[in-house]
Amino acid sequence: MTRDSSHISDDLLQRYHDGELPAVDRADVERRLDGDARLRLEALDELRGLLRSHSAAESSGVEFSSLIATIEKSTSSVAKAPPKKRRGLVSLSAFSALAAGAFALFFFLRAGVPSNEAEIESLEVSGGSATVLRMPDDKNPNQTTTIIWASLENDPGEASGETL
Amino acid sequence: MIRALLALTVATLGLWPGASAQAEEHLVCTVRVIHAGDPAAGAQANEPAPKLDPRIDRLRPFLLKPPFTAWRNFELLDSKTLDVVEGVPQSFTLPNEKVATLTLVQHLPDTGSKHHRVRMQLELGKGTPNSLKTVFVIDEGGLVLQAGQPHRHGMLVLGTSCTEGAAH
Repeated sequence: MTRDSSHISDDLLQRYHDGELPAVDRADVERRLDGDARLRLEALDELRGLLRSHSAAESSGVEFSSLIATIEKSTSSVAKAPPKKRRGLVSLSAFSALAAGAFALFFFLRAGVPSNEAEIESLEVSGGSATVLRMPDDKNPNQTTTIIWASLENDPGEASGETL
Repeated sequence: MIRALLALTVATLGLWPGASAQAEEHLVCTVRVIHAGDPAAGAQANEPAPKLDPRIDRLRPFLLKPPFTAWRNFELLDSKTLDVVEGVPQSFTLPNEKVATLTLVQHLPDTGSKHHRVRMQLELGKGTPNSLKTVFVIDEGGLVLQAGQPHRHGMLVLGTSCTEGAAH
């Protein structure tokens, strides 16, 4: 572990982040936390979130060196942007993702496939007979398509003339 | 700012059904008029597959199942697009010279289901000795089939589907 008055090492910061430091060292780190160190802590938080999203096997397989490399890569990119603006961008990105998810959920719930199942409220026929058939849906056995079957005779003068 | 955007999103989601309700006064209905012909002789192993007009491919899942398997040829004779305003009947003439009339009786109140539902009235041969009059409720975008009118050694099949139109 390397300590100096101006820089908190990655290892120390990682242990601080993981809650592994004794109280004295913890207080020391907190006293020396500057803007850069806080940004690296934020990056560690983000990385922890990413790791949690992976399987336990994958998480346990992450080597410490690659972990540090990832942190350094993340913190170097973070350091280029002003912290305030970055937080804003993160929040905006999170909000955008949330809004997109909400819209997707909204449209998914609202815009399913319409049912072809009609409720026949009245059926009047003259000059023939009629019945209502329900054709089962191939994809959804609980759904049917309604067929109003009416064998109407042709009226005098109608062109077709043919009956079944 | 985030709170404002969040409020805007919630308001948009909340107002969506209301905005939709304003456009519920009329529907755009499509009625496909199909001739089912060439009655099948019976179940035969080597019987060729039924012929289906490619313009009615959307109806394939329905027309290739019983009771329509009694016919082996399906041809689109006509396709009517009707701007149906609530309470105003829309009529057109079928190939068998019967007049078909479609009316939007009522746009049912939104009950929170996935789709708005509409009460429609379909009349065939109104005022003639051989006529049909039916009232049904169906989802917007749902398909209702009417079949059985004899025509040209076969029968007519009407496929009716209505979707929400633009507000007046």
